[in-house]
Amino acid sequence: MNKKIISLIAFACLVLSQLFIPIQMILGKENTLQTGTLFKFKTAPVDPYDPFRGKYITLSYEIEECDSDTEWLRGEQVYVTITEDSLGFAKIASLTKQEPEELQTYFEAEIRRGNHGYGNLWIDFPFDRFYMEESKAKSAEDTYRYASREERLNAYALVAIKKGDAVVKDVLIDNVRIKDYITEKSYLD
Amino acid sequence: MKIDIKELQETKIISSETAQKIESYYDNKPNSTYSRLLIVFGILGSVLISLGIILILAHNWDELPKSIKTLVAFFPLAIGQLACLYVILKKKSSLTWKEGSSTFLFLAIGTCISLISQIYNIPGHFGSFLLTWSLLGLPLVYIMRSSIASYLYIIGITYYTCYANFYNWEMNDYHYCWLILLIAPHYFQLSRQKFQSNFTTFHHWFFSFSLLVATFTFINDHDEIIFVSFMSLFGLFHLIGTRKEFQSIHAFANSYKILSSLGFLSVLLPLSYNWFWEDLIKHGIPSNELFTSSEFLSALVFSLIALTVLIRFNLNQENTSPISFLFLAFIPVFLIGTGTIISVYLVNLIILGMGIYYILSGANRDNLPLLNYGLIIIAALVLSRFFDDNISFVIRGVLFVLVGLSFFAGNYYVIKKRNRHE
Repeated sequence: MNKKIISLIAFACLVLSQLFIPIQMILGKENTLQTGTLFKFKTAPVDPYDPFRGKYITLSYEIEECDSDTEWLRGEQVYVTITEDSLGFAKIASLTKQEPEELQTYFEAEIRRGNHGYGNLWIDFPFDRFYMEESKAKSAEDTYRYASREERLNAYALVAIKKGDAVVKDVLIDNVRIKDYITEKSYLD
Repeated sequence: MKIDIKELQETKIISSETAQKIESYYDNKPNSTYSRLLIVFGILGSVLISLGIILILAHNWDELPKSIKTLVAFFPLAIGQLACLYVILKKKSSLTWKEGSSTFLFLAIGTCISLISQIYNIPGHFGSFLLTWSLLGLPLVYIMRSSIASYLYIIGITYYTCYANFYNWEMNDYHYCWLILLIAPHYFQLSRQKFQSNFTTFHHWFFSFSLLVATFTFINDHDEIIFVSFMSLFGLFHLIGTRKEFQSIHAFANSYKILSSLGFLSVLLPLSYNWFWEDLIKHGIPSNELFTSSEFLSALVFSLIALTVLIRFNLNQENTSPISFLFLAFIPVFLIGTGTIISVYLVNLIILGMGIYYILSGANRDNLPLLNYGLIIIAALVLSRFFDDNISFVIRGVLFVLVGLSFFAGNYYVIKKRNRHE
C-alpha cells in the first residue's frame, strides 16, 4: 500500500483518538448535568491563606467532615451517597467501600484523614474547584470566603450527581450566582 | 565558485557542459544554514502561537454559553490537525512545516483537555492529565516524523513520573519504564540515519537526562541500593559515549560521556566518606521485599544492560578503557561495604585510580582537557579529604601542595611535548 495512504490512515486514527478523549469528557459530564440529581452543598470557610489559585476558587464543604463507625484509612477510596436534609441541603446518607449498585445519587471520593474506627474523618470531595474569569476572580475569592464565614449568608455549590460522577454546576450566595452577586452587591454591605 | 568554474573552463580542465551542470547543481541546492534558521524560527513561531492561544483562551469567558466555549476549546486542536493533514498531503518534504505543525498540534492537545476541564470544573489529577497528553501526542513522532514532538513527549513522561512519585509519595508509579521504550524506535532510527544532525544530538541529551531524572524516582525504602543503580546507569552511559560513532561529534554533543563523567564523581565522592558505610553496616539493608524493590530491580536491569553492551560492543573496540569496568567493580565494593568499613578505602582508591588514568591518558594523547580533568578528579578527592576529620592537618596540607604541583607539572609536560613535536 502507498506510504502516503498508510500515513493518512494512521493520521485519521490519531485524529479520532485525540478527539475521543475530550468528547468523552464532555459527554460524561453533560450526561450527569442533564440527568443527574441536583444537590445544594453548603460551603465551609476555606483557608484564608490560599482559597484561590489563579483562575478557580477552591471549594470546601461542611459535610466533608463527618463521623463513621467503620474504620477508614487515609487515601482509601469511599463511595459517598447523598440525600437532602430538612433545609434542602445535601447531607451524607452513607459511606461505603463498595460501589452501591442500586443507587444513583453517589460519587467517588478519597479519605483525607482517617478515623481508625471511631470519631470524625475528613473526606476529599472531587468537586473542589469552580473556575472564574480572571477579572472577577479576586472579588469572587473575597466574597466566597466572607460568605462562608457568615452564617446569615447561604453560600452553597450546586452539584449534579449521578452514579459515581459529580459536576459543579454553579456557586451561589443567597440563591444568586456568585458571578452576579459580586457585580450586584459588595460583600462589605 | 562561478569565477572558479569559468577559470576551469578557460583552462579546458572541464567542458562547458560539465560547467553548466555544476552551476545548475549549486543553484538548486538549498542553503543549509538558511534552511536550519527557517526550521528554528518555524518551531519557535509555532510554540509562541500555541502558548499565546493557550493564554488567550484560558481567559475563561463567562459570558459565552457553554456550547460556544466548548467549540472554542476545540479550535486549536482542529487547526493543528488540519495543519498536519496539509503537511502530509502537500509539504511532506518540508522540515519547517513538519516540525511546526507537529509542535502546534502537540501543544493544542493539552490546551483542549485543560479548557474542557475548566468549562466543566473538572479537578482531575495533574499526573493523569500529563500522561494522557503525552500519549495522545506520541503518534505524531512516528506519523509526522517530528523530533520536537519527541522532545515534548520525553519532557511529558519525565514530568509525569516525577509528579507521580514525588508529589504522591505514598504510591509508586513505574509506568515510565514502558513509556520511555515507546520513543526508543524513533531515537534509534534517527541515530542510524542522521547521527550528525542537531536533532539527534538533542535526542541524546533529552533521552539520557530523562533516564537520569527518572532513576531518582525509583528511590524508596531501600535507598542504599540506588547508588548501585546510578553507578550502573553511568557505566552504561560511559559505554555508549565512548563508542566509535560518538567520537565523530563535538564533545558537548556527547551527553552520555558528559553525564557519566559527572555522574561517577557525584556518586563516588560522597561515598568516599565514612558516614555512609558506617550507617550501612549499622542499619543494614531492609530485607523485606528487597528483591522486588524498585532500587534492586533498577540496579539489576541497568547492570545487565551495561554488561551486555560491554561484552557485545565495547570489548570489540580497540583500547577499552578501565573506566568501562567501573560499574562492575562497584558492585562487589558495595557488597563488601555491608559488612566492613574497608569499602570507604576502596572507593577512595577507585577515585584516585580514575584521576591517574585520565592524567596518563591526557599526557599520552597530548590532550590537555583530559589531563586537567584527571587533575580535577584528584583535586576533588583531596578537597573531600580536607573536610574529613580523620586526617591530620599536616597530611591534608601536603596533599594540597602535591595536587597543586601536579597541575603545573602535568600541563608543563604536555605543552613541552607538544612543542618538541612541532
